[in-house]
Parts: sequence; structure tokens; C-alpha cells
Amino acid sequence: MVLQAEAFLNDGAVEGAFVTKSGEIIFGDLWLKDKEISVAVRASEKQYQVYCSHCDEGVCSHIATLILCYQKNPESFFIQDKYPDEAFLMSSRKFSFNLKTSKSTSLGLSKRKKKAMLTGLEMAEQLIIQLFEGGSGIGNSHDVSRVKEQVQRLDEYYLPGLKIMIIALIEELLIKKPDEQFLYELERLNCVIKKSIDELEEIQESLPFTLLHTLRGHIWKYKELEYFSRPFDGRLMQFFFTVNENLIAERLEEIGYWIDVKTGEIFYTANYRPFKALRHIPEDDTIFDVLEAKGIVRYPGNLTPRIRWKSVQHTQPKSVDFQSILQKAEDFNVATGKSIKVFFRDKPFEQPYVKLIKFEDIFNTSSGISLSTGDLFIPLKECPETDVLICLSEGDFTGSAVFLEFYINFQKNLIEAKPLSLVLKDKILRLWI
Amino acid sequence: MMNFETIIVSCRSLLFDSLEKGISEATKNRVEEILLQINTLSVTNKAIDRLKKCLEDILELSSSQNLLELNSIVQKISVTLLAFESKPGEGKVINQNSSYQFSVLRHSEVKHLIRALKTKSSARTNLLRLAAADQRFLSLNLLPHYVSSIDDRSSEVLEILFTEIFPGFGKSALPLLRRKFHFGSTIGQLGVLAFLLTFESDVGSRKLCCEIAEKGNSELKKYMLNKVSSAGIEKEVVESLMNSRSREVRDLASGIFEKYS
Repeated sequence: MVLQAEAFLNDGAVEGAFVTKSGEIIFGDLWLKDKEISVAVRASEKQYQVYCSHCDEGVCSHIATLILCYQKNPESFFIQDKYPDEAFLMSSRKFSFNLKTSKSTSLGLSKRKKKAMLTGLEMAEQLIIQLFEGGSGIGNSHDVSRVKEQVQRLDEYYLPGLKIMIIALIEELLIKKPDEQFLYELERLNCVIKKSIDELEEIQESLPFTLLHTLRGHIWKYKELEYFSRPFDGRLMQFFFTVNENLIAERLEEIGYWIDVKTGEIFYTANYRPFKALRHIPEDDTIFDVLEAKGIVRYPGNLTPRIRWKSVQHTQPKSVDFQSILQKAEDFNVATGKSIKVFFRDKPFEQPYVKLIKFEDIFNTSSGISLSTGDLFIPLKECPETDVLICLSEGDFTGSAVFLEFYINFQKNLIEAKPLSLVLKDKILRLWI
Repeated sequence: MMNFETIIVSCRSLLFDSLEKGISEATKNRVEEILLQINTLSVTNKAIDRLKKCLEDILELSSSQNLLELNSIVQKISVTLLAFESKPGEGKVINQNSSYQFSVLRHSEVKHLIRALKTKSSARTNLLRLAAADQRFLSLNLLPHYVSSIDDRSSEVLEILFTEIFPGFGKSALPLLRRKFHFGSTIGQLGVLAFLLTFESDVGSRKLCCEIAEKGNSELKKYMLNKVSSAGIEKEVVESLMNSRSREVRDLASGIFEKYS
């Protein structure tokens, strides 16, 4: 049975595999000879309660496939709140057998995995060095497929995040001549690899709660986050919500920016939905309510942390909420400018630098359209959000704040901002939908 | 004397060439040139020293690893040299007369419409028709999505956009459509022109006519002359169009000119 399961696994039979937040139930679909088989396993104290849509009773090779898959690569399992038919699974018979599942909330990094990651990182380093050798080494289609094949292997070294970053660079090099943006991204990748090697060589067997580990492709479980970051409650309001189609990572990325009305801290949420598993993962959406969130945990990261929560309650926003947000808006001054430069110079980041800034006016300047705030001017990125901002009437801007996302414009050699939303006394205007 | 920015530009160009052609003798010659440039600098600091050391290593070792290191130094310096401020111009770019609408629309409610417009799927006509019928879809944050379809090839799509959607936005759509008007003579651009001539103020409309007389092709001029009356266009502009190379433009301009007298 185990041999059969291994064969299924090597054929890539497992498509869309999930684990519940508690780590108790794993479930997913297997594709075998055009047949879709749903499988679920609940593990407790060396006993299993199982379900297989194909085999009526007992433990079958399909169930063993899912368990083996989880043992070998738990990171590839998407986290779900719960299993839809939990009651049914609980009522099924219990079995004891010799396939041990690895503990889902293990907070360690095994020697084997660490060694594999270091090997993968060295390989990744060689791959980007190759870009400079012999005209990138990707001058023809044969070379492209060879490099891509090597990059794909990074999955085996637990580095799916790096794999996506490298593929993105190669794809860019294939469609256009390298530009300043390319050099910046190349350095960003190089920085992640170098710092990762240093980090992994330094740590013993503990799980590194760092942004680098996220960038390498680790999928954080709620229990892990709960262990490292103390959960807290908050009153959250969404500034902005957007969905990006990431064709290289083959997933939809649903990003929401939030502010804690009480503390003024800005967070973001990210829901990554692989195209293969779209129907299994519920979508996030624009939220106009205020969320009373319980058990908020932070992902590792700099400046604007990514968060997730245990539970939320929706309430209607009050005018005092908007006033509170407006009070948290900052002046854009030289110190803010410096912190933006440091952010971009430090390289490892997941999302761009964002800030809620007091807003006065918009001007036409030599370099395009600029926001006036305090004594400084922030050039605005040429984008639909800026177009919408200039369609608004003058009166709306008094006493308002604007939520900005900062970018480097390498052509103009300056830092510019994309306006995402405008916070008024009684509402938030999202400049893009 | 060289300045630091020029040296960084030279280093970048060296990196671009190496990415395209790999390390060659030419690369070494370029490195030597840059080293000479660095030597002419009157100031020195840690960043310059590091850059110099890295370039010397490239000369000595010819290793791609050193090129990565060079990129790292160049990027750090480039970010430090980035500018923030930009001096304000004279005019404010805001439309002071607009009355706009922002609807409480969730992404899930508009995603099919946005996707259909983006991918030009056959469903876009029906979805646009539904949007035109629902006041909530005339939300200003959806306007860029509609505007991105002004060069759509489907006449049905253009008809809905220019007869229902954009007029629904009214004056609030003016700044954006003004920016998207590029004096072309496609059906979409003619539609934008018609919208601008309808919703611009008298002064704005006259200014636009003047610009079209200067920059527009005969197709655009004909379209404009058909749309405006003698009250909406300066006499001098009409006079200049009476000397146009296109006979149709001359005839239309003469027709309007007669009304002045």
C-alpha cells in the first residue's frame, strides 16, 4: 500500500491539499487516471479516522498517499479554517496503522531540512551568477529550458518563494533588455540569498521567525504565529483592497490594507489563492465595516506587518472612527523620506512601503503630478488611482489624509507614491476597485 | 572633472552589457575606464573606496560574483541618491466643478465586469449594459476601467460607453478623459472629443477647438466642425481652418464663418 502511495505521489496525483488550522485534519483531491478522488484524514493519538470517496472501507492507498504527502511536504498544504464534513469524519471508524504524520505545529527546523535549504540556496546563488556569464546563459530556448529546469528544482530544497523570484527575473530578461528596475530586483534577490545563508548557518534547529523565512517560501500556520507573536485584539478598518493575478506564482493575490483605529498601526492581509485550488479557498473581499478582530497575530516582517486573526465581528463604522484615523495621519517630512530610503536600501521586503499622510493639495509640477504635504511635495505615480484623485473636487481635501504606497521611479530617479485611498471626515474613498 | 552620478551611470551600463554579453575583454576595458574616472574625483569616501576595490577585483579575477557585488554597491548608492522633492508648477490639477460619486461596491460585485473589460471577452457588452443601468456602477473608482476601453474595436461597447456610461459620470469624468484625448481619429477618440465638447466649459471648449485646429488631422477637424456652432469656436480659428488642405474642412469652416457675418 505504501509503495503504491509513493508511486501516486511521484506521479503528482495530489492536487489541492489542505490542513485545518488545528492541524488535526488533512484533506484533498487526488487525480488518478482522470478520476478525482476526495480524501480526508483525522489524526489523534496514533489513530486515524478516514474518508475516501473511492474506497468504501478501511485504509487505502489513496489515504496513504495524502498522509505521505503531508509527511514529506507539509508546507504545500493550504491552511483552512475547518473541514466541511467534520461531523461525518468524526463518526467514521478509527484505525491504527504504521504511517506516522509529522506534528503539524512543530516549531523546529530539522537538520535535514536546513541542510537541504542551504544546498538550494547555493544552487540559487549559482543560478543568478550564471545570469552574468556568457550573456546570461539564456541566449537561446535550449538554455532557457535548462535554467528553468534548474530553478524548478528549488522546490525540492524547500525554497518555493525563491523559485518564484528567480523565474520572475528570468521571464523579464526574456521579454526585454535589462533596465534599472531589473538590476534592483536582481540585487534584492541576491540580498535575500546571502542573508538567508547567514541566517541558516547561524541558527541551530529552531524555526526562524523572520521575513527571510517567509520570502524563502515558508507558509506560516496560525499556531506558529501564535507562538512567536503575542495575539492581540483590534478594531480594524480597511483602507484598500486589491486582487493581483500573479502568473509566475500561478495564483491570485488578494491584498487588504488595514488600520487599527485605536493604535493607528497599519497592517496588511494577504490571501494567496493558487489557480489550481481556487474553488477550495474562499475569496477575500472589500470590507466597508469595522472589524472587531480577536486573536490577531503578526507574520514576521518589517514596518507594515502582515496579520491574520482568529475571529472577527462586523460593526458599522462611526464618525469617531474616521476622526481617530485622521488624527493618526502623519506629516511627510525629511525623517519620513529617510526612512523610505532605508526601507528600499535594506531590500528584503514583501510589500511596498505604505503610509497615511496628511493631505493638503495636488499640484502640476515639472515631473508630473505632486501631492503637497507639510513643506514637501510627493510626486505621484502615473496610474489610474492618480487619475481618480485628480477627478475629485477641491473642497474634499480639507483636513483629509491620503494612504500612499511608495515606489522607486528609476527613470526619473526619484521616489514616488501611488495614492490608494483618501480618508475624509465621514468616509474612506478607495481610489481603485 | 567627473561627478559621482556619471560614474554610477557608467557602472550601470557596464552591468547591462555584462548581462547581455557576459564578461569579455571589452568589460575589462570598461572597468579600466571607470577606474580612471574614479581617480579624477576630488572627494573620497567609504562608498567610493568600496566601488574602487570591487572594480579592481573584477579586473583581477574576472568573476561574475564580483559583478553581483558591483551591482549591490551601485544599488545602495542609487537609492541614497534618490530625490524626493519636486518644485510645484503654477496650476493646480483639480477639477473644481465636479460632482462625483463613490459607491459602496465590493470587489466581488465588479470583478466580472473588470475582467471582461480587461480581457475583451464577449460578455463585456452585456455586462456594460447592466452596469449602465445600475447607478452604483457609475462610481468614480470604476471610471479608469471604463476609460481603458475607449479604443475597443466593438462599436456596441463604444456606443454604451459614450452614450450611457460617460454621460452618467458627467463633468466628474472630464479630467481623466481630457488626459486620455491624444488627437487621434479613432472612433474612441472621436467619442472622447464629443464628450469633451459637451461637458467642457465655454472657455475649455474654445481652447480645445483651438488645439484641434493646430494639432488635429482633417478627420478630427471635420468632426469638430460638425459638432460646434459659431458660438462655441473663435472666429480666428474658423478662419485658419478655411485655409485647410482638406476640401471638406474648408467647406465646413466656411459654413460656420458665414454665420459670424
